[in-house]
Amino acid sequence: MDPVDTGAGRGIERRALLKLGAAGGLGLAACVGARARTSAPAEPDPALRELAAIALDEARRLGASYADVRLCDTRRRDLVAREARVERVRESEERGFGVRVLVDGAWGFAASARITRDELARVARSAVELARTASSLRREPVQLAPAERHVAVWNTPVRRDPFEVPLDEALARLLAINAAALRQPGVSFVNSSFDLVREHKLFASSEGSAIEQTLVRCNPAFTLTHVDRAQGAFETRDSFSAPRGQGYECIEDFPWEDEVARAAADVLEKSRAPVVTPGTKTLVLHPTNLWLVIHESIGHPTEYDRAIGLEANYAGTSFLTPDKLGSYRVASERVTFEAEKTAPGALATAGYDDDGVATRRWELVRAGVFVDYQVTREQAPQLGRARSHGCCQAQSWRHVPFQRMPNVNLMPGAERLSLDELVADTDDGILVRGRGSYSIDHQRYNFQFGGQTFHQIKKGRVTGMLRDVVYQARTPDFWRSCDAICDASEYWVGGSFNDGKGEPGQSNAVSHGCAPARFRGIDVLATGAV
Amino acid sequence: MAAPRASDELASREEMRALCDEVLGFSRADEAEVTLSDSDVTQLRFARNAPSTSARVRARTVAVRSSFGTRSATAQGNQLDRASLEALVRRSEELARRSPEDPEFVPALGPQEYAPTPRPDEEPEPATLLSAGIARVIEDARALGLSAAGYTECELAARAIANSAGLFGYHLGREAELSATVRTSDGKGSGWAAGAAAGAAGLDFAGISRAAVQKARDSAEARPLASGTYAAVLEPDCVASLLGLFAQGLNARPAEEGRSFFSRPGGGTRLGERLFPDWVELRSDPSASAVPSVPWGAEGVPHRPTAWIEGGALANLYADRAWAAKSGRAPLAPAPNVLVPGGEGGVAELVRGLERGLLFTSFWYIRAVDPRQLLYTGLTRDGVFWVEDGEVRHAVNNFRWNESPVKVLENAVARSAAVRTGGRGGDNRNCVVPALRVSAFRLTGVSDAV
Repeated sequence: MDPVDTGAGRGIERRALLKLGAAGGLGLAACVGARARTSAPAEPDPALRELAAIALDEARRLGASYADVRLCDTRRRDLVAREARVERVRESEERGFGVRVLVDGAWGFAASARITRDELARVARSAVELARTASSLRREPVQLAPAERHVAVWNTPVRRDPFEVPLDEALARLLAINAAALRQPGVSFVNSSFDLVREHKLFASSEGSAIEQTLVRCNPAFTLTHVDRAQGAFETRDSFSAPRGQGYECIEDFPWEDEVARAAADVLEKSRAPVVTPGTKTLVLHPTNLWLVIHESIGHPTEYDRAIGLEANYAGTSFLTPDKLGSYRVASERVTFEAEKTAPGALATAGYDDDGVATRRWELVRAGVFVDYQVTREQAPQLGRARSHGCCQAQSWRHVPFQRMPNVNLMPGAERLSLDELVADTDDGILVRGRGSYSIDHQRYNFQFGGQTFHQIKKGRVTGMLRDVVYQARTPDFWRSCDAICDASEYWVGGSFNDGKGEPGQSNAVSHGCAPARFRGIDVLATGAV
Repeated sequence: MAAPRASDELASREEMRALCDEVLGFSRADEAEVTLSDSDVTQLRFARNAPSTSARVRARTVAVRSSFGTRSATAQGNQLDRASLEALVRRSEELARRSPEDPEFVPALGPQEYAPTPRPDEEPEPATLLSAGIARVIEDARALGLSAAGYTECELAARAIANSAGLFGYHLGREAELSATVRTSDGKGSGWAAGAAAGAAGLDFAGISRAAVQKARDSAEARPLASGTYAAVLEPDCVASLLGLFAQGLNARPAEEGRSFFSRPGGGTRLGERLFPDWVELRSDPSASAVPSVPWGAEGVPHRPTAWIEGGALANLYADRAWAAKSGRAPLAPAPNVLVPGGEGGVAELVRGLERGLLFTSFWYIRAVDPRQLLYTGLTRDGVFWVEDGEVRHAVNNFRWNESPVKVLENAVARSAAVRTGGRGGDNRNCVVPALRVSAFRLTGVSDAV
């Protein structure tokens, strides 16, 4: 145990401090976060590696065939405003470590926020004991695909660390968005928020890897509300901003005033728009809407753990069963989906995953045919793959790493096609923008999506707005009906800051890029007509 | 194999109070509030008839909210040594000084008397109980050639709140949950059941296993049925999913701002309005023996036994302290649990009264569609059955639905006895609700998922 220096040498107070984690904690815990603020060094922090070695050595001593440890320090700043009022200024910093071991072919995991030498060893022991308990029930031992040994540092490239931005500067920008909104006619209320995250972690494994990473992401957003009290009616319009795996520059660079003006005009027009006539229609889905359809209907069903039943109790299984791999036509020929964790500015982008595997890109659907899943080191051998895709991720120090979605993107069309040209080529349809309501079944067949704005397309022109629109489809029917995708000049990247999966639930951040695309024969419902 | 032991016990009332005092002692702000939690959780997952991951996690958090005049900010951390606590207080003060004046600022709440909640019984190491429990679920499935997946956890958590105006509260609670999905080997049948209890020893592994196995086998030969509006029996988990969302929406502020289902056209709220049949009541109570909760909400506002729907009428809306002050009402924290009185009998009795219609086991992926009418969408999952002349005839396919909890309560014609539910991901473990028979439930599409 490290020396105790709490300064609280009295009775119950001191006992409580000792019990709750004061013992030697500060020096080591502080060291976990110390380098997050510095520019990228060439080698992982030796002090962190030394701490990690305590857990790894203890796990090996107790018979673990494999062990890894993640020492994490995550900062989050959560700013929320409504109208001229800042509702919430909240900053958090969590430090801790998780130890994962394989013993007798079974996993065990334990975690603690007390970063002391004794605790690192104790938690390793706890993980080994849990693994032993689990191994008595397991029939097939866990096998890991081979992985290269990496000793490396990787940081999200940022122009401006969001935690170096003075709080008053960030709050002034938030309130400026609200003030701009309240100057617009028809805006009754405005809610806005910046969610800023900086995750710093050292991964070290019994195979000799040591990887230090700092991942930064920002999620700025607002919602305008128009209220008609006399009618008892109201409408909202969410911003078409997107969360990014970037520094504060993604907030500084976004044209907030333009977006506020457009959103204000939209919410007023929406409140006066006619309710859609239900029926089978042609849809042109803007990337601000389509990214979430990709996430739900292609991103999740190509997760291998779902396909083989590991998520059957909660997230569900998948209609893309292993027997369909390589032959099943899930989409039209013009549709190709790529997975990656390497695109600059995307949310799932990192140098390495939580198996210590270097990230990469690969295809999930090629010219409409389902060709691959997303796998971790544990899953690659089960699928007959030689190596992992680098898709292992844990939300924090206290969460078990497991398969999580990479960025999954719809490749833009090869032929020149702008959104204007696509609309001009559409006789009768609806152009849907923005993220609305979303829901999909547990095998990812039946989905229903809403949106933020719905414009009629008549004879190749965008005309007035409709409201109360949702569309329902069966995933393979939907993607097979895709008959046009705009070119790369229209490509836009949206994303989810908090994608949930697993038990206990874990959150993951993931981006999806795409260009506008057209879909034929889609069922449209009018939700206002209930 | 002996289960691993925690490094030490959770913080007692006295220890939490000492820590709170220490944090508040560092404060140089006009006002300060501290919230603390200390939890020890054991988690076991299984799938494909084998354990997948297991975890033992000890986690603590401390959050400090400091105010200078009407400027406030919160800093949260998880390191509880003296230097870290002092640094956390300083950080919250630095953030507060840089925050703007809050026109809705209300001074800290003074000392409160919190509802007594039962202290958890002593219980042996949960890992051993949980591991033995899932071994049984796995064996039940394997013996019948079925495949089981599921999750169980047991969490013991101590929580405290204190502020510079003398408020202090402490709560120690334990909760355990189990859910299991059993699927047939051909993937054509899937059954699910879940439960929650005050500890690992209270989880009914045998009963939940039996129910999931039965649903899996009964759902295996589903026949096609078109979407449409049907009479239906909603098992308690379906009811809990909908009423949990309904309870979350009972917020006075958006109602008074004209942007909620509970807004009255022309202004004001629908408080007092008769929305449902006479028998409908929805209450919450932090001391409810089946589902005790932390006895305070945000800023230490006490949870008290509250009727939200009484005699079918809207009886209360929650309001934080700022909105309560502005709108001239008493603050009321959101419902910590959902209690709906039931009648007699179980699901089987409700099915017996159904001439033609459907029986739903559980709902999935519920999302708001239209807040003006509290319209939600979602899907059925893990067991939908066709009922004729009061008897379950056969399984049918899954459906997408677009429906409102308001309509469900309006259309409710019979209810079972109320039971504590578990829910997916423990979502419904704070609910005690009956199954309902409704005269109409709107299904808007068919799902191929099993």
